[in-house]
Amino acid sequence: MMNTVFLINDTLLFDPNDHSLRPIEGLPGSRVVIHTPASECLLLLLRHNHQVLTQRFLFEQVWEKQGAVVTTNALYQSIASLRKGLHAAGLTENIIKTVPKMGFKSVATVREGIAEEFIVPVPVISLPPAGVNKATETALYELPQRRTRVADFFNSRLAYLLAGIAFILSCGVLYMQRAGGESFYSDYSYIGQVNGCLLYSSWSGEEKSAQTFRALGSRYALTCKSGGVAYLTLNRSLQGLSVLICDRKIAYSTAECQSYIFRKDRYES
Amino acid sequence: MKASKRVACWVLIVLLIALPLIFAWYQAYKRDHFSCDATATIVGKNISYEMITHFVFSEGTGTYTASGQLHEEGKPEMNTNNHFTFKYWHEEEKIIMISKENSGMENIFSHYFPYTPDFFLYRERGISLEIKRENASSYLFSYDGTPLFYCTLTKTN
Repeated sequence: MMNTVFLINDTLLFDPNDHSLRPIEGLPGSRVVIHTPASECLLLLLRHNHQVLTQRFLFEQVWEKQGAVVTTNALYQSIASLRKGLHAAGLTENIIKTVPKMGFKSVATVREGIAEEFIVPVPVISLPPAGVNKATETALYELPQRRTRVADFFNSRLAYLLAGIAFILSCGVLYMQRAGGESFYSDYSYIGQVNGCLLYSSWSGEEKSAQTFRALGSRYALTCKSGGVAYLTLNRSLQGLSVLICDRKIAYSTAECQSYIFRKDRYES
Repeated sequence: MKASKRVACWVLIVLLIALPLIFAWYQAYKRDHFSCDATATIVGKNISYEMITHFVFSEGTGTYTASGQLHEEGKPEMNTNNHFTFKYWHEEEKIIMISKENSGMENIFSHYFPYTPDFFLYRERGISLEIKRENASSYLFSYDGTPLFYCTLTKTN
């Protein structure tokens, strides 16, 4: 079963199962075990962080559930014991506030999670030789500060902002790659039906385009099936002309096309 | 629970960031790994050459294979076969191809079609073709603004 623990002010780890408080790596303080009622009070206060818990509520939840009837002093002693324990474990701030005539509240920064989330086992071999036995006991489970900082970062607005920027950049890369993906013939002009073909031409002049297509047809048989499309390219360098004849518009993936390249040859000047 | 939700959220965010990049990479990969077939006819005065060509592009090295028939008025048909390898790279929307071998067709083409780009005939000659994806299954290769080949993708190289 997973062990739920609380990280208090990024400083202390509270384990309600063994009623212990211990500082995270690199901070002063030592492991402290608080008595059960104090531990249960702390658990309730942390679970209702920043909320005022009345004395009545605490009595009911901590003592009366067990069938015990205690005086108000028992509660105050438990809270006092809790404050001392927090201090001894290394917490400098007073996170348990007394709210006059109402009760108590926790004003801590609290993160709840499973023990494995916060604790990373440290291999024994990495420990310095001096005082190995004692150090091993305390260092087997340590919470690296770096990991806490990383977790905090991923929970911050800055992280989400950076993620948003990364997503936009990522989409930008894709857009840039696909930009200019329009058809070679996208700006060709539709001329009309010529020699049974729906003729598109790089030259917008209808008469000139139709005339050229007919002239090419007399030079080599350019025939279209029903619904066939011809794309005529009049090369500006006049080194040759190109006709692409397709059985349908080229945008269709099933289009079958054949190209005809009319070039100057040795007989032409 | 909160922590696992946060982890799941970040996994989703990372996926969202990575997906367009993966798709862009896949598109770039496909642009560099494909083979296609084209049919073309070169027409001169009283002469024509009908050919079937096959291009293979793979990581900077390609092959060009063509078989065709030369028809000249008053002369018997001549069958030709042409195969050579080339190296290539992309520059913006263009592909630069450099032939690695002679085609073996130099004499025929330089005689009948003197404006044939040297790439198709001689070793170590370059050509810059514009390659456009016209539809899901085909590319259009154009040279100097003139479409040359409508090349339909083949499943295998």
